Amino acid sequence: MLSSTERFYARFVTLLIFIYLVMPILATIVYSFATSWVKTILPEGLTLKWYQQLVTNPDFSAALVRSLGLSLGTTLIAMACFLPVVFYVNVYAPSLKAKLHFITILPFTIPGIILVTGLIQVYANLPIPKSLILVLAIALLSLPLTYQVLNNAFIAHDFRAMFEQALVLGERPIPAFLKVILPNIKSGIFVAMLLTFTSAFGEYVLTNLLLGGNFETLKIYMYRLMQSNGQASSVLTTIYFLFLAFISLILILIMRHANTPSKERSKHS
Amino acid sequence: MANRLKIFLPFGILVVLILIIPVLVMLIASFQTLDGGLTLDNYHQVITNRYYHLAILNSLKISGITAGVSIVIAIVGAHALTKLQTSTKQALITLFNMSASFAGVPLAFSLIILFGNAGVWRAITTALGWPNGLNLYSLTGATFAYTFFEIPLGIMFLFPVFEELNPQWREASAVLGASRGFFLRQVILPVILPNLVEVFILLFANAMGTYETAFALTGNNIVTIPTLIGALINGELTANVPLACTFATIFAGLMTLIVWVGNRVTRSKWEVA
Amino acid sequence: MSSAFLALKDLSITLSGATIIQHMSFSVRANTLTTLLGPSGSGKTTVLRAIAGLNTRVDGEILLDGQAIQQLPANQRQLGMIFQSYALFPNLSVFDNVAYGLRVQHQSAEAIEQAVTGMLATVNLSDKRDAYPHNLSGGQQQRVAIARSLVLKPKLLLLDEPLSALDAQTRVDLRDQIRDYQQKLGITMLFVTHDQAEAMAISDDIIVMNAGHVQQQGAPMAIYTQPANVFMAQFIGHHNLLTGDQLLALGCHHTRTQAVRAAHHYIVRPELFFREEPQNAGPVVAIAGHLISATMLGDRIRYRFATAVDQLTLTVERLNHTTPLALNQPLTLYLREHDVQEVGPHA
Repeated sequence: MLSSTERFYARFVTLLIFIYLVMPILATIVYSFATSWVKTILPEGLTLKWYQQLVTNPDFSAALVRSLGLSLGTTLIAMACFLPVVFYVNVYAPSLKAKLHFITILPFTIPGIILVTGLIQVYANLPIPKSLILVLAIALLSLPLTYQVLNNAFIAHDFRAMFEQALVLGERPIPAFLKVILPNIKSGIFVAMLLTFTSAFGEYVLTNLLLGGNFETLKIYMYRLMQSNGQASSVLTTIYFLFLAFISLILILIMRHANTPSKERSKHS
Repeated sequence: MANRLKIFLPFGILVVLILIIPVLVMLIASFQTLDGGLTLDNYHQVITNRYYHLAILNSLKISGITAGVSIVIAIVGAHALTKLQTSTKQALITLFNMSASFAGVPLAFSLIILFGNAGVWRAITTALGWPNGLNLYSLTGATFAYTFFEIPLGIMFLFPVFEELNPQWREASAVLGASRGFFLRQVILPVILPNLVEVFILLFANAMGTYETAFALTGNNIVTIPTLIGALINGELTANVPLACTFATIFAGLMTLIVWVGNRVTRSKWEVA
Repeated sequence: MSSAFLALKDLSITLSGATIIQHMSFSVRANTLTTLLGPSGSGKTTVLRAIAGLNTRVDGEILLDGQAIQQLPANQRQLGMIFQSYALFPNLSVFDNVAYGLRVQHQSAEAIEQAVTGMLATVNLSDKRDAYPHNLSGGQQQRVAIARSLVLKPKLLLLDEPLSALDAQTRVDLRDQIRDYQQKLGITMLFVTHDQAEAMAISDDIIVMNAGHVQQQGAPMAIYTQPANVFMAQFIGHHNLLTGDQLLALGCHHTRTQAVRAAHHYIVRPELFFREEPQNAGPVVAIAGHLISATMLGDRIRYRFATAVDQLTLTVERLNHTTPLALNQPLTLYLREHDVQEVGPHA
């Protein structure tokens, strides 16, 4: 129903905004391949040596392993804490949903920098490993995102009826959950895990302030490099961007795959 | 009931340990001296110290301007996005999400490469003899940097709002003889205004709470509430965690108040309760 | 036939590259309720939107009361249009929704007050004037939408499946009310629906569309009893559609007007089979077989009747006050040859 001028305008505007947002990322990618690019319009030459330098640096692999471990731990804890709650609320107590809505504005009223202040005041001098507090805190900060994605996974079907049907047919609750509910929400869970993983992977504020740079994750390493070595930092930023792009690609593919009819239903409920 | 307890237990422990206790302790600590005695001195300092005033003022300035500029661009962008094909929309939303997660150290670094003292932009403007207008390490620079995550965030918040507008309203209005302007004034604006206010508040709050980008870009050159709290914690000024707690308490209280008032104000009589 | 109030001449419509309507012409008489009837995807809504001016590209001519309107933008055509989804403005009260078009015309507050109050009384919603759309039932919302259009006294009211989102009882009530408004206010309505019963019940004229073409136009009775072609015969209800071959095998050699031709199609309406042989009715065919199923329809019972002729099954309907027929018993039914109707050669 759209006229061609309208469609052209829409594409043009979207493209313009997209270019604006992507411009710094592109510059960083080019910079990472440049032999030198200081005060010139174009880089002087292209090279792969900065990549070789960074990837062979033991600090890099150590930081990568720390970040991956931290993200994995956070993702598992987040799922263990939130999945049962989202399931319960959707299947048994939809009225609780409104009360849990406060979760979605939490990161705006209590952002990381505020939360970390309280955490330091409480845990700085207690004999609890800071890395454990860090994992728990990142899991909590990922809650709004995880909660919303998981919640969306439950909208498509009448899971209460399905779950009760399984119980009536003689199944016990946990096998019923595993056999009936889980297969239907697994792509939602996967998306939630990916997003939690990504946000933990990119965490900086808590890691930096809570552990004071003693636990060098990729982001902390990136900041250190940025102060000292621009080329290496651009390589690391490019790698980080590729990681985000890869995750985005997976998310786009999942969404393409997700069938539209179930989305239609969710609109009406 | 036992089941219910089991299900909520991990979640409950997490929220109590990581959210409730720290926030309460933070609140109490904001009234304490460095060695634990009760005092109002922290609040007194916040009110009287010029440097702290500057932090608050900078935060308000950066956040207000960023949120204002970003929401205008996000309105145009989200509106344009609704006119694209469904698969393109979904892909673009994911890409906007990605560019929002690029915020922080990588964003700061990228901007320094492009617009920093040794950057491409500087090279181009010098070659063309233009003035080097943008100083990235200033208040303006920080505001500029914040738009790179505030715009995609705004688009992601506003897209569902525009997507839910019924295209038949416009058709019904046209058949009833109304011009486009009349329709915008009488129907669209009143319908989306509460959402615009809400999204503006979220963008504002998000900018207020931004530590990573500000810190990575300007270090402690430009002091904002978050970078000030950070400096008070890790001792770049002099470590004073209780004072950090005071700032954090004021911040959390203020943001809660703004979000709450925003919710009140935007709840209109025709909306489903 | 009185002169055409609305006339479409050689209309073609292209939507995002695809031609939906090709060279279509029809006309609508003044002060009638005319229905555009067709299966989904037949293009009927597209035609309605073209008349309202909501399509982007239209070739051909649309004449309203003698004036060509195809070049006018939607907001200058002075038509009314009712949408399936009501399309009420959620931020405006019932009163303000109805007043919307009057405010566009900058009418005085008193004039608006008077016109809207009167209109709300007509559609029986006086007590809801300060309510908001989300507080109303579907039927009430659609009545507000109708009031919003009618208060402007449009030359022509277009209704795009206005009843499909409503429950069965409301649908019938509102259907009759719409017919009532049309007759009381003396306006012309063009009503789009895919529901034949609805079309039959309220129309002066029915235009049946399929695949972007007009299949037949006529009064409900003519549409029902004299389908113009095979599509019409299949589309209108439970007619038995038989080939000439099948009729000949049943022993029917003539229709009222001519001999049965093997390669042509014929219809026999399900209510025109008789239990006893009709007297003085011209040639009658006796068909032997047995009933294999019965469906209760309220006022009628519908049977499936298996004939002795190669697996041919007929639909037979009988009014409910007659004695029910036993299933699976040998049974002879009678058919008058002049009730057999030709609909045309093989498609």
